[in-house]
Amino acid sequence: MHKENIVYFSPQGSVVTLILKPFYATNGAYDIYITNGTQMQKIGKGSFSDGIEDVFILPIVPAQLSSWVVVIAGAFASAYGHSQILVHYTFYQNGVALSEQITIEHIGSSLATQNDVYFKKI
Amino acid sequence: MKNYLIFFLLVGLVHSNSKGQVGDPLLKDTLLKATQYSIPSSGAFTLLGVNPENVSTPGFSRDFKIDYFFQDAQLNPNIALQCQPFWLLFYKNKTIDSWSDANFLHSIVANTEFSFGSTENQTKGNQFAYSFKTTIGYNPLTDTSFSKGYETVLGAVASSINQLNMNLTMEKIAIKFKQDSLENEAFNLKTELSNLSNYQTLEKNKLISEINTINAQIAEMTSRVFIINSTIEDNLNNENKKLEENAKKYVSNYMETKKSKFRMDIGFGQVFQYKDTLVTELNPLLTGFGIWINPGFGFCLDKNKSSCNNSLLFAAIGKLTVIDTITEITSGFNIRYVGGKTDVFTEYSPVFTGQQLTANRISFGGGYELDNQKYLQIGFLMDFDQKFKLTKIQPTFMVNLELGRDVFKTK
Repeated sequence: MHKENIVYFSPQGSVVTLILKPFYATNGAYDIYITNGTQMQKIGKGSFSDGIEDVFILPIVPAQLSSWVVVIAGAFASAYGHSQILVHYTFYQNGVALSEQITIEHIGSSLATQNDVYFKKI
Repeated sequence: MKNYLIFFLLVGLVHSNSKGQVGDPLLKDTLLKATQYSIPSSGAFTLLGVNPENVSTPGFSRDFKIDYFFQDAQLNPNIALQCQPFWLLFYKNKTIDSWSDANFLHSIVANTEFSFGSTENQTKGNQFAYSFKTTIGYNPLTDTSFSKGYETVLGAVASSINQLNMNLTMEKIAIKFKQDSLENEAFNLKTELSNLSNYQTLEKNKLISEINTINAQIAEMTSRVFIINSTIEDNLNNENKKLEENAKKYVSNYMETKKSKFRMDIGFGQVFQYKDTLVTELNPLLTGFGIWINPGFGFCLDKNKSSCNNSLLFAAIGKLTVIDTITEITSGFNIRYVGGKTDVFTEYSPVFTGQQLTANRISFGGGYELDNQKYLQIGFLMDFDQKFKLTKIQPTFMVNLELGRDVFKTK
């Protein structure tokens, strides 16, 4: 499943954080990339083994960019028997949520997914 | 019975306050079913010798278990309560990473079960016993390796998505950024156009031509983005098919490797005699102790199944009890067939008092799992003398109530 989302940010904020949180015992492995349109940089990878959320601090300075994109390429699967995969993720700027939480939801026991999140200056 | 009630409430309190984070609930249940084969015996009843079978079933119970045992058609206080206190108090809330670092000693402590039971019979009178039992061997409750291995499977797919789609994604993002800038440019030109008077035809036509060129470029880019998005989606769908196959294969292989795991119970306990049934006037008298070692293993008769429906379990026991200064050594072996919710068993165990063979004990019986928590077991225990002459036949009936199968919750 491929999804695109737009998140608006303020250039005044300095730190942008991404928190991914799985629900319903979803197992997962994913890579996170960031790009300004000319080059793509892998900023981390994560995995869910026990339902605990993962936190990433994005290496960007919002004041210097008018837009950028975060790409989350992941593979999620139910450990056994579940028929729904659910992962929430939210971006924060200086501790304040930049948007409503974005949800990866899938009916089925496995999901290869790519989520492109476009950041645009307000 | 007041003591039972207090004990039950305490354990229930611990149980209700626990919120486990170790792994997946359904997986644990499936692992238990695939590897446990049948309900393990309570240590106190093993010590008191009142189980329908003389050779105990080794293994891990759930968080909390109650056994009720009927004998000789009497409603006696034959009840045993069992729990895993260290697991409930200290280990259940551990994360999977903590479990990965846990050493052998920690796992032994976490597996330790405490049980308390009482029985009443015509020859020995009122007795109660407590026991500590630990199990060595594969424990599905504390299995941490599944998720780690599963993530390797998922990680390979995530990495594959990267290889397939990142170039396309980069192209798409570059196009979208260019589109954004063209849209801004078109917006500015349209603003400029609206500011021109009707007499500036030449300038207007030039601007309109520029806007049309930009719109054509944007349309071309939109078409390319559409194709890229479709290709990305197709690639993901193909990856998902692979992921599904790999995930199923992983789960199935994992179960297969765990099915025939060996496990061994090691137990110790003490036996007391009491005269009055009033809690305040029990006057318990220590009458002896017992130690036992109880190995067992099983194998699944089904082929290529992730959960086991037909299996055979082999168990043996070596038990030494010194009660009322009488030393009794019991050994024996038990074979149990488990098919779905039903199981049947037979066993042979010679009983030595001192150096002398006092009984050849043969038992047989079976059980039925009413649901995930309730299990009924019926058995016949027959004693033969040295010349294999029947000296005693005793029907037994036991109810097991197991709690805690579905307590593993993820955040």
